[in-house]
Amino acid sequence: MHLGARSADVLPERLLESAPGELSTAELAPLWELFAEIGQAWGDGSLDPRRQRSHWLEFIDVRTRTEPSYLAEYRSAVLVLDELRQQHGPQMWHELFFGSVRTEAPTTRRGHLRRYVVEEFIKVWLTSGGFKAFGAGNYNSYVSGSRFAVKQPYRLAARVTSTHQ
Amino acid sequence: MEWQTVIIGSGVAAAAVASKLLDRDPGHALLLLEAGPRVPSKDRRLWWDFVLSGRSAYDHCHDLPLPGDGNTETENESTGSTPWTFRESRMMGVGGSTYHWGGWALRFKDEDFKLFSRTGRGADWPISYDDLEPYYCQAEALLGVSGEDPHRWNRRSREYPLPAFKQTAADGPMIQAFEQLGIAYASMPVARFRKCMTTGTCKYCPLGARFVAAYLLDALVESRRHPNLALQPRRVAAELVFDRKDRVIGARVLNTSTGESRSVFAERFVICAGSYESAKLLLRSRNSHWQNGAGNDAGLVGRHIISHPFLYVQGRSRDNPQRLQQELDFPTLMSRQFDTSREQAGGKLFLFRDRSKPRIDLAGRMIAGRSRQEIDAELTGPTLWELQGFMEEFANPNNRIELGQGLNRLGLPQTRIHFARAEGFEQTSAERLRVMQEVIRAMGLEVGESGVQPQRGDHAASTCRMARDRQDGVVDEHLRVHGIGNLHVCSNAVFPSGAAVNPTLTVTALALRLGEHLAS
Ligand SMILES: Cc1cc2nc3c(=O)[nH]c(=O)nc-3n(C[C@H](O)[C@H](O)[C@H](O)COP(=O)(O)OP(=O)(O)OC[C@H]3O[C@@H](n4cnc5c(N)ncnc54)[C@H](O)[C@@H]3O)c2cc1C
Ligand code: SF4
Repeated sequence: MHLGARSADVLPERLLESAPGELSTAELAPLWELFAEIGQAWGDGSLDPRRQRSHWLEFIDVRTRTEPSYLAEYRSAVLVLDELRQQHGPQMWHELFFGSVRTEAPTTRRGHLRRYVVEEFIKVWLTSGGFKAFGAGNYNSYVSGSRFAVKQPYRLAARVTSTHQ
Repeated sequence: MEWQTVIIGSGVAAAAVASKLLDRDPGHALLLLEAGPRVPSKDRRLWWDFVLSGRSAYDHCHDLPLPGDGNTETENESTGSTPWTFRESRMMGVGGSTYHWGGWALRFKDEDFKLFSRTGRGADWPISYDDLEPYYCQAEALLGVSGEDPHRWNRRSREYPLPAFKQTAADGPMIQAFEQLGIAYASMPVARFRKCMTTGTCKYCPLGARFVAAYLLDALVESRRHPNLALQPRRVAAELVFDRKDRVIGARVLNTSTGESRSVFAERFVICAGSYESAKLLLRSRNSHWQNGAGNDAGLVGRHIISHPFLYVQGRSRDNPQRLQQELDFPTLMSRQFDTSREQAGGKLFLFRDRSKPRIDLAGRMIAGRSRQEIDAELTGPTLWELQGFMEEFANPNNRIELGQGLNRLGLPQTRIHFARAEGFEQTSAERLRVMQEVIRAMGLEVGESGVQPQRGDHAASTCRMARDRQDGVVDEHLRVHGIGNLHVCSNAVFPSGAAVNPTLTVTALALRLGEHLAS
């Protein structure tokens, strides 16, 4: 079989069907690497991905254990990531985020990886704190914290002269 | 009788009436009928789905789009010269429209209750602000409103139960413009409980931190104190049954899960079915006593429908060096400077900064393969700002809601709305827009797009309006349908006029007042 053959498998556009279940630690590892690489590509270096891990794990858990389950989708992604690594080496992330894989329609295994995994992981990366790299103090779907906390959970208006006339 | 009280609907009005009745008499035999399904709340999967796809967990409880624009499924009908938008203008399910509301919770003002006497337009309320003030306090406590009123825009006997949200950095430039122009402003009062974690997915809050009537109803149902309380989803009240003209004895109810129809009987009925369905249920209840529909001998049921014209003005700044983005899912800046008796005759204006701008869709950019540097350049580059406003609308008897053809997917009759803007609206809205444009200019921006958005039904009101005399309205000052001793309506439908601000705090206050009245 030639390099990347499974990645080119033709699939229906819809989510791959599977019963709810759990990913093994070995399956989680390449997916976590993908998530951390998103931070490498767009982050400003100030956010340690380990601080996003519990959020990401909860996301994976909910996505795999409840209907419709992403279990088959994630297992397929692991396979494609492996083939991309063999094909492109360290360049694989660039291919995936900015290169030809980015625009691949979700009618192949590779396209599925983009639609159902990379694009969703990008959103999870932003909502688990990645947005801060772009200067904001809060972001829709980021559990920022209580407004009664000492540190305000969003950027406040500069002191204004008065709210009274 | 099977029940002491049957409430039709399960939105905030229903929940507030129910909570008062049960508070006074925990053993009250009370049935709530809800046409729509139950939507799971605080469900992690549904929340993630919402975050990732933007699809809400209750899309199936909305009206379908009107014909046109390539829509495959269509519902309802808009006739009249001004099109009426139904999409997402209400939510039909347990908890009603508070499932998707913004939670802005403002009181009407003194003069709003005297619209006709003061301007010769619209109608007066048969009650005053002072009659409602104690219930406004209770409503603010029930909804958990965070707010401030530094300008005393309202006379109040109790302060807000929670402090206001502080204004965001993105409010800054507009605050400066307000100050420059002498426009008084404050934080928007919003129904967000203490546990709010500023997560910003308020249309489906993962923590239950924004008021949704379903939470209150669940708490009432789950309490052991209420052995005779029942809430039944997927039950459509299709028609009211009378044994004589002035008394309802039952309601014919369609169970949309089984397709069965049966009647429920009660000593008293309270219709809390929203502005569309409250009127439609009365219209559907035609019989030998009420040939034009229950309570409709004067032909007023369904007439006078109003909502809020939605005004907007945009401006673009050349750059945005602080990378200001909207960081909350609700506004924190508003002004009632033009919501006073001075503006009343032409239509009051309630101003607020758009809750969704400035915003760059970071995820969209990353998915599109933009680099960090490219996105950063966009964030610090030209930026779009928007000031928005609701204008008060004046009722016209020709503007009306009617029964459409057939049933919708939830078993409710289709809706037909005939609507046209009031004469002179073009001119007064243009004047109001000029005020808004001045704010945009004071921000140092060039005025961009501005105008009036297509009419939406979110704040639909006045279809069963309240009046002392049965010739002028459908319900009396205690929300009892004129001529029917044991039938009440509680909804925005009973508002004689709609003021310039959002309606829900006012309907909640009315519901608490009604609950107290019924319990006594
Ligand atoms: C997008 C949006 C945002 C909004 N934001 C705000 C805001 O920020 N502030 C504000 O004040 N207001 C806001 N509103 C308005 C607010 O949602 C309503 O004023 C409020 O929820 C009305 O409550 P209600 O109980 O009267 O009616 P609803 O909440 O509409 O409840 C009526 C219920 O009755 C049921 N029903 C109808 N007919 C029957 C029948 N025949 N049998 C059985 N059940 C029936 C319906 O299914 C529904 O669940 C917003 C509305 C929209 C659409
Ligand atoms: S900001 Fe909205 S979604 Fe977030 S916790 Fe508060 S109410 Fe809930």
